[in-house]
Amino acid sequence: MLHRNAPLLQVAQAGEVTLVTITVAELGETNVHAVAAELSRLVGGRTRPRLRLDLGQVRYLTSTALGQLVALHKRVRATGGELVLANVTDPVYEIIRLTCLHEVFDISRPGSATPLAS
Amino acid sequence: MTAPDSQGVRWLQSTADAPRILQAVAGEMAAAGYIEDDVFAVCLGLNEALLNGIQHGNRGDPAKRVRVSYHVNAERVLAEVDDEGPGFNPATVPDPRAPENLERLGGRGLLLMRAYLTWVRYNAQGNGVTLCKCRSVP
Repeated sequence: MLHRNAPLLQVAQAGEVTLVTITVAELGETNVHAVAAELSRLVGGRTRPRLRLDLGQVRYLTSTALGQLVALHKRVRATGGELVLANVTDPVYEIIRLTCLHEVFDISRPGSATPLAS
Repeated sequence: MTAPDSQGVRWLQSTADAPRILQAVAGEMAAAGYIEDDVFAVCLGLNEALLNGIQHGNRGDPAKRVRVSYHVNAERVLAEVDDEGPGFNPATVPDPRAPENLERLGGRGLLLMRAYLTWVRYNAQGNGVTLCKCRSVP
């Protein structure tokens, strides 16, 4: 299910907002630490980073990946920044909802209004 | 990861071994006509059980292994996952949905297993778990 050596994410800048698209369908043990390291590098040393993380291609994530997203959320919040999980697909939203992390994350779903617009 | 023995038992040593198990289970479920949601649920729950066994049960010790076996029939999927650790009491795992735990980095695997599978049962020592997913009724 999980594929190594595939491109993991794409990064673009739109004004003050950093747009990051996760380009894998499954975020789990074989790739989530590399993704987390790259995201950490993107927000590292910045004050009030504004990050829009597009999960539109992700269909599945593990509890470890959830933990990494929580860590990123806390790190961004600690610097006064903003993190939005965008285009969250139905199966991923269900995982987030079951764990009540929809109460923690700022989430944008397909077809909904777009927070963190540049 | 070892190839399955005559009893269908496989042994894993690291999380890198998990995808092949999941692919095998998903393939058998698809061949048996299970809907995609059932396959997703089993893969998610079984993956969490494998990760728990390797990372928490065996505490990442590469000298220890996780034993896994599974059976797919027309009505349900059963899987057994055993690690070589001391075991734990699942009743003592804090609810990750509690407000004070929401922002903890870990502790969600057991919740996900229970949410997606029909039932989840640990052995008395807490180092082995049986997972069951009944076929969804159309």
